[in-house]
Amino acid sequence: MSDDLSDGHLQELRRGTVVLASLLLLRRPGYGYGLLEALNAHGFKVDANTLYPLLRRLEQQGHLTSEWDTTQARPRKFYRTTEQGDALARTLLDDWDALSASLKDIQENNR
Amino acid sequence: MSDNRTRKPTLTDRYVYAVGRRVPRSQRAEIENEVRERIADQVDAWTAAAAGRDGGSTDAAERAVLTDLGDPDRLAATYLSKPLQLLGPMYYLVWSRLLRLLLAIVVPVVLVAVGISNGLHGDSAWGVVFGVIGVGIQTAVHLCFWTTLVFVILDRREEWFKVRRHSLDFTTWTVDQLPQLESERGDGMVGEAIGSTIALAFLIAFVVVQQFDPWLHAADGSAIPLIDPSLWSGYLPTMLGIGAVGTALAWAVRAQGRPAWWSAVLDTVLALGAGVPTLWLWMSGRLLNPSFVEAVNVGDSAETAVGIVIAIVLAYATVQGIVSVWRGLWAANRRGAK
Repeated sequence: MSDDLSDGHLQELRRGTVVLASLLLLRRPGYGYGLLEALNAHGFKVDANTLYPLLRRLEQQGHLTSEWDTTQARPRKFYRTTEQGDALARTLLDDWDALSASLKDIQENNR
Repeated sequence: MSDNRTRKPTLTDRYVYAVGRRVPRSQRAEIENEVRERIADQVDAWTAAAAGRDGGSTDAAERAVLTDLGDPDRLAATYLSKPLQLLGPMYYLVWSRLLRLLLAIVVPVVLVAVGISNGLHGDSAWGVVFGVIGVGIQTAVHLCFWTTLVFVILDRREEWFKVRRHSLDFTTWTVDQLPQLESERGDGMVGEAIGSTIALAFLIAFVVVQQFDPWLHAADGSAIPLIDPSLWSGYLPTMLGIGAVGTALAWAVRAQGRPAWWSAVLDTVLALGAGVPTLWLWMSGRLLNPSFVEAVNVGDSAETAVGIVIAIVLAYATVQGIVSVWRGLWAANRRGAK
């Protein structure tokens, strides 16, 4: 299989996990670029063009809340996971675990 | 948040302004600040990464970062989750079906109406042809444009119309709309037989009515038939005979369940037998009753124009009939070979 093809499938598989990882990371307040670096450090290869609009969307849906920090040299928008966002993160995590268990199960029964 | 008026606007200022222009006023300040923060953070990162290589100037970093961000219009669209397409997948199918339906119905009707009207107004043959082509193109363009415009507005401004997408269910798909398999459709050929019978009935009715109760009468009240009465000596009976044989043939094919070589050949002979003499009589001006032509007197050019249109229709109908017979046979053979 060509790398391009597997790249596409990997990207698809990981799409939803960026939301989950962001919700978890933003339990501690963070700003866009900081979050981008943290995600990449944890192996989530996410594009800025995806992340910034995603943060806006999550905020509009009430999963994140934001505040401008103007105490630094440059103003930055800090996001934080709300209680609703935390509940969503737990739901997603449970589903992730269930999926992982199912996949393992399928794998073992289809050797 | 930074004071932009005391210094020359930077590329970043211009970029942020370009994004801001594309977003609603209510969200403008917020999005502008977010974009500014994003650019500054990326410029810092770029400078830090480049410092090891070539010292890294801020100007070059700014240029590189902005180039990387790309077209501000596109960036603004991602912040608003605005579609970057004319028509989304929700409405595409409805749009395409409706448009094809409208084109298939409206354009031919307009073409025929305009052709007849121009012909009766005494345009020359070429005038009629060009007029029809021009109106046809205009009609098609208008249909495409206005239909598409309505759907684009519907797609973007759903809240204006208070429509929910599922309420547009005049195109909701049901299993009853599944197409027939060719093998089922060809079975029996009953459609052809019935169609042929109805056509024969119309032909007989037309020939009788035009002779004995036409729509034109001479000054003394006597009828003026449409078709030259001298054709009763051979042409008209032959046509009625061909119609009768064709109908019988269609029922015979129906009884057999599928067309065969002999029926296709016979159909072709019948189609040519009806089409060629009719076309020849028409072209040589002997089909119509001379006194009818005189009585109508639409003018020479109109006569030529209408004449050409009718000749084309006749030729097309003959060829089309023969083609469809052989296609039917071909499809039946293919089904049989499976």
